Amino acid sequence: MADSGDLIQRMLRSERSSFEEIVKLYAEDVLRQCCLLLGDRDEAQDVLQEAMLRLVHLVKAGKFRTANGSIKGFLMTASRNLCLDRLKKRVDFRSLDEDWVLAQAELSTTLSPDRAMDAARFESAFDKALTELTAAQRAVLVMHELNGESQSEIAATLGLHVECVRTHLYRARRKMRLLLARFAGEL
Amino acid sequence: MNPMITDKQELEFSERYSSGIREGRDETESSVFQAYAAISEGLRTYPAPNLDVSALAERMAQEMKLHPEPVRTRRRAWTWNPAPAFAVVCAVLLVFGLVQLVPLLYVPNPAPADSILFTTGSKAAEDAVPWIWKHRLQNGRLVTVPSDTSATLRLSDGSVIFCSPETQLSIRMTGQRRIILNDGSLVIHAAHIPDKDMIVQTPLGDARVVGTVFRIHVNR
Repeated sequence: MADSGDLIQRMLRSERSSFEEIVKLYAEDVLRQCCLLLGDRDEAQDVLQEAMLRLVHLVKAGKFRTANGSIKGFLMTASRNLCLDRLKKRVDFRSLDEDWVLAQAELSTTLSPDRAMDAARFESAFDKALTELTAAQRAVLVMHELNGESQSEIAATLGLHVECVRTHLYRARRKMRLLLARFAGEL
Repeated sequence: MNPMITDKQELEFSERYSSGIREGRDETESSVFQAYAAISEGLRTYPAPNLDVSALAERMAQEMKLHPEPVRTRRRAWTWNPAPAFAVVCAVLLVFGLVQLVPLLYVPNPAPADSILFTTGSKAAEDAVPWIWKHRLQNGRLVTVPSDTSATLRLSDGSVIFCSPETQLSIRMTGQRRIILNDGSLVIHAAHIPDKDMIVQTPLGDARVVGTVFRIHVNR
């Protein structure tokens, strides 16, 4: 793992290798998070670039303090916030209304995806299932599972009540679980 | 056919899983937990799209180089600097001094009834002397004109008294206009004020001014 302080110093000296190193080290994780949150790969790449440029501006302004966290931590938080800002413009996170009842009726009662499902089938099914989640469910699920944020932390970030986050989370899990089993069966 | 899991059960499973429990209490819960773990794993290994590392690094390098932003330094803490403080003190003293000096410099015209303006020298010399140098004569104070000069007294009523060298006199402007001449000679241009005669008091007697200009001489 590269030392954040060393990378920052090299960035200040405009060493080209430092930028490449940062992109190679952290871009994949940041991009994964953005894709999962936004559900759009092109938009995710825009957010990644914006987060990277924010890092550059902070380093240039002498405001980036490695003591306060790693470069990866900054990029993950910045990109997450950028994604949520975009989502908030088009999604009401407080809304729990959805086609949940209908979806439940249509879904098979299969308990869980087949354990023996191969990686390719699982990946394809996972991608399809993910698109069926609402933006709020996807955001809560990603923030909880990928970033390890607690329900109260998510509630504070999204400006929601903890109960609302809990509901989004269990519905996201249920939907993913059932859809994975269904799509895996169809593939 | 697997059993249907209700919303309430799902919520309970989800909460238990979120709290860190990974072992199900029965086969159903274990199976659900396994599905949750698969979802979590799927999120962590979700394939990110291919990225042009070089292009993004180049963009960052350009941002760093082409648009240099000055490093903002922290605002300097306040420190004691004697020069500005001294300047402020001087300014305060100057203003205070001017405030004190203005009443001294300001001579109302005409002068109050009980004051007499006293100047020395001839009329030309008087005009040459800045007015700030002229000074007031206290009412009733004895004036002795030196032997090598003359003096001009301008009274508050507009009268003018030319004093010869070695003249000794005092003037009282309270009530009557009374000029007490002990020695020397005067030429008086008396202003006419009804019911307020000008009296020149000499060791030999008093003289009441009737005309407007007269000369009086006391030789002891």
